[in-house]
Amino acid sequence: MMTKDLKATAAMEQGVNPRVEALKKSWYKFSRNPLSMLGLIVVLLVIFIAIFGPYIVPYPEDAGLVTKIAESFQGPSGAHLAGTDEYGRDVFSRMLIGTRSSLVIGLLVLAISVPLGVILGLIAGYYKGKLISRLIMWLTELFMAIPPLILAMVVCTMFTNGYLFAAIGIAVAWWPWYTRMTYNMVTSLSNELYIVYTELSGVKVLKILLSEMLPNITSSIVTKMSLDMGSIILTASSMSFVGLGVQPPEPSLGAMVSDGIAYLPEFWWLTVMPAAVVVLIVLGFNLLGDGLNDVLSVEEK
Amino acid sequence: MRKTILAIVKKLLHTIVLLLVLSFVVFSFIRLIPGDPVRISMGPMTPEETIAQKRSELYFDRSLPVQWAHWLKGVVTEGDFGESLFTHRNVAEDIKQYLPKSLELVFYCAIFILIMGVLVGTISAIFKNSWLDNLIRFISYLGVCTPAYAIGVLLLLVFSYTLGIFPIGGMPNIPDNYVRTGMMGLDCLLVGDFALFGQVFKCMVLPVLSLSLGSIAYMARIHRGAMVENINADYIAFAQVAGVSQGKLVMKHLMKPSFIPTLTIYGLQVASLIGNAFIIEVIFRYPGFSQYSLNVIQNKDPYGIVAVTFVFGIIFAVVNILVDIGVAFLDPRIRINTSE
Repeated sequence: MMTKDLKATAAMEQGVNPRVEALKKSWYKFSRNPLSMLGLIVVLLVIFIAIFGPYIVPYPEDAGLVTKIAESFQGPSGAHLAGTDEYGRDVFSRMLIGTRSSLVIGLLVLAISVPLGVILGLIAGYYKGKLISRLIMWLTELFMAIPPLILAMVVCTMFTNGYLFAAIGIAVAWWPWYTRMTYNMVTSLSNELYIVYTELSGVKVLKILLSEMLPNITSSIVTKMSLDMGSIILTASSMSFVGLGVQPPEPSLGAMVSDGIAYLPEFWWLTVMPAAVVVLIVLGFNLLGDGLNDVLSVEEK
Repeated sequence: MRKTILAIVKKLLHTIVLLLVLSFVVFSFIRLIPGDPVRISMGPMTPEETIAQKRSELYFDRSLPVQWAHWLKGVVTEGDFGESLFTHRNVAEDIKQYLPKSLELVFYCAIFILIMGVLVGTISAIFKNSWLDNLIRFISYLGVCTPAYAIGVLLLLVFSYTLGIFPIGGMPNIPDNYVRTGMMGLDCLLVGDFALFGQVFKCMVLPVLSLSLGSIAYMARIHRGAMVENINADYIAFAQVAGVSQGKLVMKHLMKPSFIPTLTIYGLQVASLIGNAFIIEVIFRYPGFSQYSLNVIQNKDPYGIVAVTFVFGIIFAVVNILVDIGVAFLDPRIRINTSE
C-alpha cells in the first residue's frame, strides 16, 4: 500500500496521472487478448449500425411493407447480400434495422433495470436485517420465482404489445439480479474498516452509499451489464420469434427467423442469415464481457 | 441431517407463502389489463346481460381480495383453477392435458444435459489445454451464445430437410384409450405399443437436442472450471502421494466436489428449460404446456395466466429445493441457508 502511494506521488510529480496510467495498463492487457478485441469490434460495429443504420442500409424502403414480387426469393448475391424474402425485400437491409432495434431494446432494459436494481440493492445491503431490507429482498425473490421469459411475456402482452413494453417486460424480470448482486457486495463491504470509520465519523448514509460503496462495485456491475446485454438480446429475440415486441412490418431478427421457417429448405437464407446475426451479436457482447471481467477482476486483486 | 430436513421444511413453507403472494400479484396485474377480457372472449354481439352473468360467475364483479380468495379456495379444495376464457374449459383440465407432455420433453432434456454436460466437461478438464479441450471450449462458447430457436432451425434444416432422418415436426396421434399419465412416450410404453413409442421417440429427438445443446455447453463450461480448480487443490496432490489409485482419485476425490457448482447450475438450467421450451414447441409443433402458456398469454386469458404463472412458480420452487437437497447431500459442510 505504502509503496503504491509513493509511486503514485512520484508519478504525479512527473506530471503523469496515475488513473490514466492504470487505464492504459488495463487497455494494454485487454488489447493483448484477440478474443476480447474481436468482441469489442463486433460491439462497436453493432453500435455503428445502430447509429448510422438508416443512412447506410442499401434498401431503406424495405424496412416497411413493400412488395416487389418480381424480386422475391432471390438467393444471396451482389445486389442482395443476404437474398430477398417472400415480398422481394432485401434481407440484409432488414437485418441491419433489426440489429438496431435489438440494441435499442437491450439498452432500454439496462437503463431501467440497472439503476432500479442497484439502488434497491444498495438500500437493502446497507440496512441488512432491517424491515426495509427484508421487504426489498422478498420482493426480489418474488420476481425471481417464475421464469424470466414468462414474466416478460406476461407483462408485455398485458399492456400494449410492442417495442417499449417488450423492454419493460424484460426489465421487470431483470432488475432482481442486480439487486441481489449489489446486496451481496454491499453486505460484504459493510464490514470493511474504512466503511465503519466513515460511519463513525458521522458521514451521511447517502454519501456513504454513493461515494464509498458505489465506486467499489461499479466494475462488477459494468462487467455484468456487458454480459447481460447478450442474454437480453437473446431474450428479446426469443420474444419477437413468437410475435412479442417489435411489430411487423418493422423487422426484428427473431421474427425474421420465425417467418422464414415456412420457406425451409429452399429459401434457407431467410432463417439462417438472421439467426447467424443474433449469434454474432451475442457472441460479441459475451466476449467483451469476459474480456472486461479478466481485466477488472485482476485489477481488484 | 435433522438440521437439513428442518431447513428444507422451512424453505418449503417459505416457498408456499411466496407462491400465494405471487398469485395475488398476478391477479392484481390482470385487473390492470385494459379492456374487459370477458367481453372480448364472448364477442361483440353478446347481450349485456350474458356478459354480466359470466362476469359474476367468474367473480370478476367482486373486489380483488374476494376474487383471489375464491380462486384459492377452488384450487385448494377441488383443484379448480377457474375457467379459461380461451379454451372454455377448466384450466385444471388444460394443465392435465398439456403439462405432462412438456414435463416429458424437459425430463429427457434434463437427463441428456446432465450426462453430456458432465461428460464433455470432464473430458475437457482431463485433457486440459489440448486441441480437444480447445475445440470443446470453442463449441461450448458458441453454444452459449446461440438461441435455442437457431439451433432448432439448423437441426431441422440438416436432419429433416436435407438428410430426411427425422420428421419436420408434429407428433403422432396417441389414441385416447392409451392415455395414462399424459406423457406421450411413457403412455405408449405402459400400454406396450413399442411401434408407436418408436414414432414418438423419433419425433422427440430434434426438440430434445435443440433444447439441450445450449445448456450442455454451459454445463460443460462450469464443470470443466470446477474440475480444473480441484485438480490443483492440495488435497488431490496429497491423495496422489498417499497412493490413491487413479480411478478412485478421479471418481471420488475429484468428481464429487466438482459436482457442487455443476449441480447448482444444473438446477438453474433445468428450470430455465421449462421456460424456454415454448419456442421449441412452436418450431416443432409439439402440443405441450409452453405452447399452451403462449396462447393463454397472447389471448390475455385471466385464469389461464394465473394458473400458468402459478405452475411455473411451483416447478421453479421444486427444482430449487431438489438442488438444495442434492448440494447438501454432496457437501456436508454446506448448511442450507434459509435466513433470507
